[in-house]
Amino acid sequence: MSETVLNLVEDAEVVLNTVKASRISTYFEEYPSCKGIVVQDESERPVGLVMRNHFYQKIGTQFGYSLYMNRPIELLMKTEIIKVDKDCDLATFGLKAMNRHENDVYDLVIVMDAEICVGVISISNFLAVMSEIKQREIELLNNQQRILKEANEQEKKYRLEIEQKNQSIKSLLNNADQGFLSFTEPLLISEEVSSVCESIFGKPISGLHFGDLMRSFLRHDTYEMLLDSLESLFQQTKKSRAKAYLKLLPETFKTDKRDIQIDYKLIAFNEDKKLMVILTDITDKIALEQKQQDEKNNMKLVLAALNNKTEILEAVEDARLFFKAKYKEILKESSSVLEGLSEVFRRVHTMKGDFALYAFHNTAVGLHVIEDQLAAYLNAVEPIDPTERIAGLELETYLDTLNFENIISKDIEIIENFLGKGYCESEKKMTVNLEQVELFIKAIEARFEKDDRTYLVGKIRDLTNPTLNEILLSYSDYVKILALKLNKSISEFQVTGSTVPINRKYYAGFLKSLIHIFRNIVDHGIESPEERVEGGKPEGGAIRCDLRVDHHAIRMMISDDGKGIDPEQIRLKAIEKNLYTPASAALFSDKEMIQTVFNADFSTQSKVSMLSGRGVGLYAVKTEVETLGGKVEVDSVRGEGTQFRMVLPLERI
Amino acid sequence: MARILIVDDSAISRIKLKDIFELDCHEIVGMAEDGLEGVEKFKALKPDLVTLDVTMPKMKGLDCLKEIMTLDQNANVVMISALGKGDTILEALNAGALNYITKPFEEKQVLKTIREALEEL
Repeated sequence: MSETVLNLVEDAEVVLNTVKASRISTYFEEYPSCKGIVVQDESERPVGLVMRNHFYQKIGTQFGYSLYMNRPIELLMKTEIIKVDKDCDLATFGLKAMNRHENDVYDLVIVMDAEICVGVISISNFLAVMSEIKQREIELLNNQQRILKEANEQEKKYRLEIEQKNQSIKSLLNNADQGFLSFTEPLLISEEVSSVCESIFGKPISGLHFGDLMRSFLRHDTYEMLLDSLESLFQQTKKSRAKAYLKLLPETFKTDKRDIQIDYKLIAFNEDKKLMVILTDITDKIALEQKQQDEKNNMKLVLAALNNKTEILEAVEDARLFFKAKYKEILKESSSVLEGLSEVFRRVHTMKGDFALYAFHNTAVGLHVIEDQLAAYLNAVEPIDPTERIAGLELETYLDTLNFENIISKDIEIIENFLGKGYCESEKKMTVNLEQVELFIKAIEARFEKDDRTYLVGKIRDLTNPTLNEILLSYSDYVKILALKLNKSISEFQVTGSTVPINRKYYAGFLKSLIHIFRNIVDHGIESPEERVEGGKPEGGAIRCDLRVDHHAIRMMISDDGKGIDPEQIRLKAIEKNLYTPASAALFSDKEMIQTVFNADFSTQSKVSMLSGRGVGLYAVKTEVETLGGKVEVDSVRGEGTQFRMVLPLERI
Repeated sequence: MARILIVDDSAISRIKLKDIFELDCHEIVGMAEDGLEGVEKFKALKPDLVTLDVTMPKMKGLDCLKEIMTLDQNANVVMISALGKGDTILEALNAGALNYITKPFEEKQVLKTIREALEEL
């Protein structure tokens, strides 16, 4: 309230102290609104105040009237006047004015500018202004309160909205089949817990420690692992490692009646890590899955048996040997029981991994039990323990009791059910009845989902329909042996380009005819090692096959780095064999000329070689290719090599 | 594409991992059959990533990991382990391994783990 009194100042009625009271009386009668008059001395300084009420009180009696009326007003005036400076603030003014004697409280207050009276302030006026100011303050306060109230209401509204949103999320979560809960570093479960959680645990769980909650459902070591992993997880800065810790958390647990699957999701990785836990009731699913899994395992096993027979038979043989006698050898040759035990343990462990890799599920499980037992022995043996020898004997006794045939028999039985008896006895090559394969494919199609099905069936089809690449590669041994017989050498045989699955039946004639190209290359194309070295080439020749496939055609190229075809020699031979007259032969370009090698009656070899026959070879290729509606041509650069190029229409499998 | 060193005493595992990695266009810079050889090859080849079997002769996977981490504290090692080896894995992760793969391998799982590990290099 720093307002000054200036606004309250009214003009003052002023008289000299010598003026007679009768004049004042007349003035008050003439101006009824005048409440008081300031009295000044000769030097114009205020010396007193005549208030209307006080004046009339004094002259109201007979005595007073006769005493004062004809005398100077100074005898009648109030001399205890209050003067304030014009810059006086309202508060100071109020204090001064109100501290007067109660009879004087309504007297005018004189306002001074230095020594001069500039006006008066009436108390009633002051009170009116004050109440106005008060009123303004109250209004302001009321306004503030209104705003506050509105803000409160707004806040309530927002709170309600948020509540409703939470509620709708909650009801969404509550109506899902899964339970959701989450927690941060101290593992205390936050308030937002879906109702499914409570029905799983049979009690409210928000606020509980996640570890404590899970403790009764987990094996002790799993429980410890949970705590350790979570602790490391919340300290982790690398996302990959954090995810690795996640994988160590338990994936399922069992309550009294239910199987529960647990999924974990790390929300907000960087600042405040929060882990969301999703619980799914999988009781029914598990029972069904177990049945399906058994069947799937069986299918995988049979497929592996088909695909990796050589490796599997070796692994089985090694395992049999190990359990028959090898472990005794290992234990005997080791310098200590501990060393022997470690080695046996390691062998069993590796064996387990290998069998698991070949889908020998039951065998792997059996070996796992043995491994656990060995681990227990391993933990029990102290290196300098005097009872070490006894432990060693115990171990040997334990191993003696094991019968590997029992461990592997179930898986072998499954294989033999599908592929016929005697899988293990047969040679490394295996004959499988195609009808059995078809039955196997049907079994797979009935049990596997889309991707797995396509993959597995494809793999089996590959067994019966090898790729063109594999067929070409199978010529590798043939050309190398052929070269040896001719005192030549092939050091490189490559198949590059696309993988081309092929319908073997459809292309059978053509595939057989390819042998003529390879014969020709080794017999006529590749030079003797001496010739090659002289020509600056490596001793061994190189044969390269390249495959390209598009929607309509297979493009195949078979090339060598031999001496190439001499068009002049071809021309001469062709004339000699009466294929062309010299005149017509002269019309051919070199490239056209060398296509004569595909002619039925042509062979550049003057002697009939035992290996390349009579030159019908390349003619056979041309016939087969053209039967399929394709084309073949040869290209050659003297001294550098020859290329056979074939285009075949694509016949889908 | 990463340069990978495979350390595993099982020949089958080595071949299987090599196939999977090569199909994903990684380069196998070396393979080792035990922990000692693993450490030597790590020194010599300085691979971007090592896959390290837990159970091996001569030097166990965990000791090999510790040696490698001493040689290079930023080494990226992914452990290979049979199922049910949680304790060892936890110890390995705490000792600096980046992630782990369980045997028998699922190609998708192997590739996912390796890709995640490589993303942070």
